[in-house]
Parts: sequence; C-alpha cells; structure tokens
Amino acid sequence: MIVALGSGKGGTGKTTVSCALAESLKDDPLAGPVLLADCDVEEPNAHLFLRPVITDRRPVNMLIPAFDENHCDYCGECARFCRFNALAVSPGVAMVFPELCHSCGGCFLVCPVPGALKKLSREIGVIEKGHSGSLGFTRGLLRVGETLATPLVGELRKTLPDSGTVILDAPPGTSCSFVETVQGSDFCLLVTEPTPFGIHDLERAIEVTELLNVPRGVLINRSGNEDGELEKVLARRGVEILMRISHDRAVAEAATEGRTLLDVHPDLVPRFQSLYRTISQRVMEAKP
Amino acid sequence: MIRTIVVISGKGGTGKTSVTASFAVLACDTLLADCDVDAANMHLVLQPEMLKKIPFTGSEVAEIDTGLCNSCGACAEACAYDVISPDPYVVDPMACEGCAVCPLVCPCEAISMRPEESGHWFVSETRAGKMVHARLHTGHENSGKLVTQVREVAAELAREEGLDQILVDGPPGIGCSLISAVTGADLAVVVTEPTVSGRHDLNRVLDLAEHFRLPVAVIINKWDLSETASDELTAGCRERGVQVVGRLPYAEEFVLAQRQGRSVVEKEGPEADALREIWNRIQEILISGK
Amino acid sequence: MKVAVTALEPSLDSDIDPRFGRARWIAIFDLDDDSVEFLDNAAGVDAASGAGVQTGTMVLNAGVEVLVTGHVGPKAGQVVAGGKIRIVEDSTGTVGEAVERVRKGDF
Repeated sequence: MIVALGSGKGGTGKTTVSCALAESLKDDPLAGPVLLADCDVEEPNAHLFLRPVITDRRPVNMLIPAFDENHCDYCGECARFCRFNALAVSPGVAMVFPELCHSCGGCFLVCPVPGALKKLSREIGVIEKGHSGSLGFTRGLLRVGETLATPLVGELRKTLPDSGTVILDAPPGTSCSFVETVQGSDFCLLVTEPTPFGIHDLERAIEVTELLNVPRGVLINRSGNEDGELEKVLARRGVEILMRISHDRAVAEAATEGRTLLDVHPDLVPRFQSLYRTISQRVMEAKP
Repeated sequence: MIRTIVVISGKGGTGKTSVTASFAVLACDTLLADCDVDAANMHLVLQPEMLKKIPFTGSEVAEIDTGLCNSCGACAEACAYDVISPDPYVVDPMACEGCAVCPLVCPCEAISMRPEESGHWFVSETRAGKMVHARLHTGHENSGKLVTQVREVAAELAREEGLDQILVDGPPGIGCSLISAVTGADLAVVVTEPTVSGRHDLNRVLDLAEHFRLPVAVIINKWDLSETASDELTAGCRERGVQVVGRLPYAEEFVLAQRQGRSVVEKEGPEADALREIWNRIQEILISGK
Repeated sequence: MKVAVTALEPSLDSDIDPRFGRARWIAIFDLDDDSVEFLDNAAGVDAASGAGVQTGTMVLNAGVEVLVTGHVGPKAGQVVAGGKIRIVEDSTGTVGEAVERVRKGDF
C-alpha cells in the first residue's frame, strides 16, 4: 500500500508525521516491510530525523543536445522546433541552453544533418537508498540550480516496491511535483494545521486528490481550541478527520535538535498504528 | 531603476508570508507580487479588491483525434514523459509538457497542439498598495511559467505607476518556481527557523543564491525555540558571508494575526517592533548596496 | 550598417521597449539606405520560456551590428554576443532618437 502525505501549505508537520508513522509501523506485522520515500526532492528533510545509513546512490540523468560545429550547417531546424527555446541557431552561431531543455528529444528527430547534434547526459539529481534499522529509506535530491524536480520524483516513484507499506513524504504546494507524488497512490493523508493559511492551501490539496481520484483523509496537527473553522470546511467537503495531534511547543523545540515527535510523545505509537488500520480500511472500501 | 526584494524560505511554514505581509504594510511606493502561486496566501491577509483577472495560457498540450489515429503507438514510443496511454491512444493533458514531439512522429496527422489555460493572474488593490497575484488551476503544470508571468506583469505595472520597489512573496523549495521567482532580484530575504530542517533547507537556498549570484539576507524566526541553535545558525551564516538581519520570537501573535486577517505589524507589540526594525535594516542594505 | 532598437509600437515616435526578450517590436534600421523595418516579436512576448533566446536569435538573423534597448537578460546576452553585436543598454527616449544617436556615433 502506498500512502502519500501532503499538506498544501508547507511546515504543517508533513515530514514529522511521515517519520512518526513510518517509525510506528516498522515493526507492525500488519504493515509488512515499511519504506519511507522522501519525494520533497527540492528540500528533503526526513533523513535529518531518521538518520538512515545510505547504501546505494545513483545519479538521475536527462538527455540534452550539444552541437558538433564540424557537422552543423546552421540550418536552424532544431531551434525552430524547440518549444522551450533551449537552442539558438543563426549562421555561424549554435548554442544550447541546458537549463531550458526539457529533454523531449525533438531536436534530434528534426536535425537533417547526421552527427550535427550529439546526445549529452546531464545530471539533475540523485536517488539514494538505505535504511534506518528495520525501516527502509529512499529519497531524491535535486541538484542545486536545476529546475526539473518533477522528473526526479517520477524516477524515484519508479523504484518503489509493490509490496509492504510505502510512505511518501510529498513536497509542499499543489502543483507538478506534488501531483507526481500523489498520482497512483492508494491514499493521501493530508497533514494540516487549523490556521487560515493551512485551511486555504489544504482545500487546494483536497481538490488535487479529487482530480487524481486518490482517497483522502486529514490529520490535524497543532490541534487546539481553534479547530472549528477547519472542521466546518472538512465537513462541507466530506473529508474525514482521521487523527489529531495537540499543539505542543515541546515538539517544535525538539526539532531544533533533530529529535522526533515520537521522542517527545512515544505514547503516539499505538495511535499511529490505529491510523494505519483506518487508512487500510478506507483503501479497501475505495477499491471497486 | 526598480528594486526587487523577494522573500523566500526553502522550507515551508517558517513564517515567510506573515513576514512579507508585514513588509508590504510597512513599505512605501511598493508593488506587491505573490509568486507562491500554488499556495498563495497573501490575499488572506491583505483582502485585495480585484481590478483585473486574466487567463494564463502557459503552453500548449497535445490532443489526439481518435478518428484519425491508426493506433500505431509511435507517439507513445516517442513521448519522453510517458503521458500517452493506449486503447484508444490519449494524452494526459495535465502531465503533457507541450514539446510537440508526438505530432512530429505521428504518421497520420492525428495529433495537434492546442493552447491550454492553466490558471489566472490578477491585479488587485489592497490597503498596502497594488498587488499582482495568481492562481494555478487544480493539478496543472507550469507554476514556474506563471511565476515568471506574475513577475513580468509586476515589473510593467511598477513602471507604469512610477513605483520604485517590488516586494515578492516567493514559493518554497529550490526548483523551477523558486528560480523563476528570484531571477534578477536585487535581494532575497530568507526566513528560516532554528530546527534541523530549517538549517538544512537554508543551506540549500544559500547554495542556490550563490549559484545565481543573488545577494541574500537572513531572518531567524522562532529563534527562542532554541537560543543555541539560533546562535549556530547565525554563526553558519556569518561563515558564508551572509548577514542575519534580525530574529523573531515563536509567538502566538503570528497565528492570531492570520485569524484576524491582518499583518503582524498592524497591532503594536514586540513582534511588530522587531519586524519594523528588520524592514529598516533591509532598506538600508538596499540603499547602501551592501 | 544595421541597427536594432526595441520598440513598444511599430513607429519611430514609439518609446524604446525597456525589455529585450519580451520586447513587443524590434525596429531594424539600415543606415546605408535609410530603410526601417519593424519585426513583430509576438513569439518572444508569448514564449513560455527562453524569450531572450528567441528574440536574440531573431536579431542575429537580421544581421545587425548594434542593438539599442533597456536591459538584456543573461541568456539573450549570450546569444547576441555570439553574433558579435554591440549592445547599448539602459537606453530611453524614442526609437527615432536612438537611431540618430547611433548615426552620430553618440552612444
């Protein structure tokens, strides 16, 4: 079962909850082998709390063109075709702007001169694999200065196992790389906080899960006396509240030392295990 | 010359938008631009009155005419993004990059490119001045392009209105949207927090700023969660030659202000004083060019 | 010698467009025969990405030696530099005035 954790707004506790859920399930026979995949490739953080041993690391490459000036006759077919304006060609001038290239391969297809365009490989990031005790761990890490987070998430998702439990720590926001993470998951657990920003961005995230047809539920983090507005919105949208974690400054303080939610509140383990059971049930119910 | 200040964070939830909204209220002759287009929140604080709403067409997407398709599969084979599925062959419009390779390889001219509306951008009036903001349609691509659009509209509007400063609320992360939001800015103000995630993400953002030779200043929010960790953050910044322009406490006031639909500086208190001081320091940096 | 000037409108009285990559029009002057042609840069204006590359290529293909505009971005700058074009940035005033300045060698 693949459970993606999203939020819309950043900083609501997505990574905190992902790690706590994964830690709570790692020795739970019902969950099988548990893997946490950090899909927030721009700013991955789960490793800071899980401190995994990394055993495998491989680069993720994209294909980009390069001109061979000995063969290119500056006809400009490639530049005219390129929808991303990654190529500039004029008599005597032929340039590639790799940061604009989306690796569609169109330039190679339209180039009429054999050998004028060479295929180069460009590293956009890496995928790491490892473990933290009995908990499996994997993450993508975007190279600084690269824009293509979504293809990296796509590559990371291709490496995930079919069995056991996979927990995806999704990026914040609701666009490309969030969609890439949530698409094809069995369930999306939305971690939110009862603030106007939290509620606003959560609604966007709910809309994405509806569009992708992924069943969803909400975990209210930093829950307190002000949950009313959020509860109203969730009731209106028909989204179930699956768990609440009380607001506690001690958890935020622990995060300054890399200590986790479970370090502060070990009593939450059974509640996370029961959350997992509820999610499994909802997934079963949603299956046709 | 119009100056552009962009407020970013790397990690989400560090208080970036609360800080930006406060700066917006403090700033004079400044145009606002909310470039956090897939989780835009500035409007919740500034309650804008919309003056203009324009559809945004980021790129084209491919469309297969099933009537003309002979199901040869050449398009799916050539698609670098795996967004074409068979029986019958269709393109997932939400994931299509618009590269136009599939119409190129299609032997029966069954594929055409059509413009896809992926969101809207707005010009609004707020109590802190005019604001350019946007909203991406649910699940759509192109947030980086929409960010670029917001930046360009803002630059043009600032010129028209004779304003000398643009204040940008940036997106989280270090990818496409963030790079679009900071390109060509005069100063990036990074709001961070003394947690291990905050520090880690700050370093990634500072690496990025170095990569693009972007001047930066750092604000440590929630500093009192750990004085030791905040001091370490400050020292780390100093080592990299980055200035910390101020610290803000972990205070209920930030959430309270959100709930009351106002910025933190619109009520007197120690947080408002600290923000005012930080804003003045930022203006000094911009004027002195240091 | 040919000179390119970015223009907000296709007219000599138009103000210089301060943008290069997304300039609305590019005026191409041929100082040898006093002719002028306005190239429509809708493709650059509407480009989702790489507007500077697109517009830079257009100017290169026009065979100009001098480019007068407001600001040239880094990518466009690279393209234009590849064609050994002299770039005059931070220019204001009308398109006609800009050409007169170039003619007098005053830039």
